[in-house]
Amino acid sequence: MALLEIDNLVASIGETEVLRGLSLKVEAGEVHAIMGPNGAGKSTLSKIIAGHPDYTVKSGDIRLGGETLLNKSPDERAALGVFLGFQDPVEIPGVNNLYFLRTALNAQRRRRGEAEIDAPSFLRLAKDEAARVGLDAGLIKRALNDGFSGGERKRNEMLQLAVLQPKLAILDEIDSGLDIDALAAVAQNAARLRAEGMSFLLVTHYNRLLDAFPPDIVHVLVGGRIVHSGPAALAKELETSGYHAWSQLEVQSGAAQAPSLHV
Amino acid sequence: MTSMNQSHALREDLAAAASGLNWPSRKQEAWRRSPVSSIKERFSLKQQNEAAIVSLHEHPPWVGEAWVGHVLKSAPQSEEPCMGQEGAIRLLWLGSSPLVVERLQSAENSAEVTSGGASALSVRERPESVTAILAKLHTRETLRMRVSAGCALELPVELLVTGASAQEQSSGTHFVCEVGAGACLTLVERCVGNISESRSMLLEFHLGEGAQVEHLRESSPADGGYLLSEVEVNVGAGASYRSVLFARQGRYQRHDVTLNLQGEGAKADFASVVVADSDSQAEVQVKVHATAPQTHSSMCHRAVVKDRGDVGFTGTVAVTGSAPGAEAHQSAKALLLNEGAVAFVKPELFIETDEVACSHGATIGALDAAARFYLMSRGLERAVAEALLIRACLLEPLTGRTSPAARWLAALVEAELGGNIDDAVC
Repeated sequence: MALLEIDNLVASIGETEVLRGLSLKVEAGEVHAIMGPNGAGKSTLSKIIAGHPDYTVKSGDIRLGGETLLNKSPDERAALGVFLGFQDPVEIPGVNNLYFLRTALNAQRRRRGEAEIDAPSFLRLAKDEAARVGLDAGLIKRALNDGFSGGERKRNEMLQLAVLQPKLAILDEIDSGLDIDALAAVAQNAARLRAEGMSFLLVTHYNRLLDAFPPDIVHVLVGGRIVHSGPAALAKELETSGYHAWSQLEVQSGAAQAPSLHV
Repeated sequence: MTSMNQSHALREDLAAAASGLNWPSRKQEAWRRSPVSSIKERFSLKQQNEAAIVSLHEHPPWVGEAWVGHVLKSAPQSEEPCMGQEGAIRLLWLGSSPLVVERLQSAENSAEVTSGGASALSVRERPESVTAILAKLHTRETLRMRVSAGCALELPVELLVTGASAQEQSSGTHFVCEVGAGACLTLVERCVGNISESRSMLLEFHLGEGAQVEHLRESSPADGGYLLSEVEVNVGAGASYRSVLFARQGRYQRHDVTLNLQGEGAKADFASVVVADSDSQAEVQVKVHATAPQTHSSMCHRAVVKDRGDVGFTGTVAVTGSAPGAEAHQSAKALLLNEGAVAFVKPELFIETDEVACSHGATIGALDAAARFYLMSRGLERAVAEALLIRACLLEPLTGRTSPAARWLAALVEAELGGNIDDAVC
């Protein structure tokens, strides 16, 4: 049984259908990359897996470890092991970064029936992980993402990922706004977490993240469906060929049943 | 000169054009503000007590003008010392009852009280450091406190104002605080408890050159209570006034704050944190008058309104032509937690000179859905996520304030928010 299974997912926001029969399987410890043109549904897919309330799933299913996610709230999904690294993490002045993270970790632990982490242990954990992702120790004591640069916010997402230890990490354009050093730190930490068994779903436009953190499989998402999947080298081909051919194919196929391109 | 005339003409043209747009006039907008003028006239502390205050000035020392009453232990016990720091000074004001000065000295909470009939009241933190002088003026009282020039009080002075007597359905209090040049003072003002009827407060601050005052205020009248509060602050050159008001409960609260930046480089930062629920109504009006060069001011208003609560905030900045280089910023945010809750926010800027930097921002709305999803995606239940967002809104003005008094006020706000967050953190 795959860790993540998405079966023929159809979802909409308001009257607009954004996913049109998307299917995907991710095994434990695998790294998958989702690439595609703007508006293809990449970020939508990320949010739907995490349980964003603005989207309605009309048909299909999403399962994590064999358990359906569709009837679960975002916090329940998080406790089951879903983590969404936001493309644009929100800033919340007034909420201390560490306070929030410890609250979140203990909330997940309680829901899973695990013992809560005490304050000294948590502080050690958070400081160690912050050092690994290259986040300044002063920042973790500040308000959540308040006044953080784009790169600092992404590093903070990686800190949360490392502390919360989900089964599946969905990173939505984690590479945007990162300088070379920050990208290397993100990739290095992602690789470390992968080695510990974490699975990744990377949403990205660029190869520079995939060069540093190579995926097992690359999927091309066009028009709300995965239209092609292939090895890591596919990302390089896309850089050369673009999505034009796939988009044309999608236009020709119209609203036909999505091809079965499970890997 | 020609350029200035053109600029002036342009402004007048724009003003004329604006007036033709049928925007609400100030008079039309006045419906939103509660009519409190008649109530104010009943107290009219400043006017009625003016003679007494002047006479105090003219006939120092003020022996014979003041008297104090019983010790704290015989006062209503509902109010624990808020700061509880050894050596802190507490001024306890019980409506029309006598005033008590207590100096917290030891674990036994023994009180050092100057008492007696007609006697002067003097509290000395260090020689010539603090002098509190009480004038008992029957039902209308005036307290004058002076902090000597150069005196840096490490511990806060607490001004506790509580209920009016049953016989006296309304009561007024007038407090004058003079802070000498270079002196530092933290004043904790608490209007709490048995304010079941109406009460009016008038506080005046006079900050000498380079003086620094931190003024932290808790305003929590009992359910059904009415409270009118006026604060007038005159800030001298290079002096700094920082204030945070935490208002909650009561039937109606009105806080008018006037900040006069009179000296070059004067600075004033005002923040209000308001929680309104049930049928409670709270209004905060802040006016900054910048009349000297290079002044700085900021206003930060945060409110959470639920049930049928009603919160209003008007922030007015007036920069005169004699105040080039003025900087004034204001930010107001109100969270409405349900239908029926009401918030009113209005920034006003009157700028009569060119070399200024002013900004304002105002938002009214429900909880940020994106922020709520972000928190829930990390594992927080919806209720906890919402509690955190409310907490974030209310505590923002206190972020970065590290003084014990500010931490005390932050703890009060936390306590107001209930146990959801603590449950999640423990």
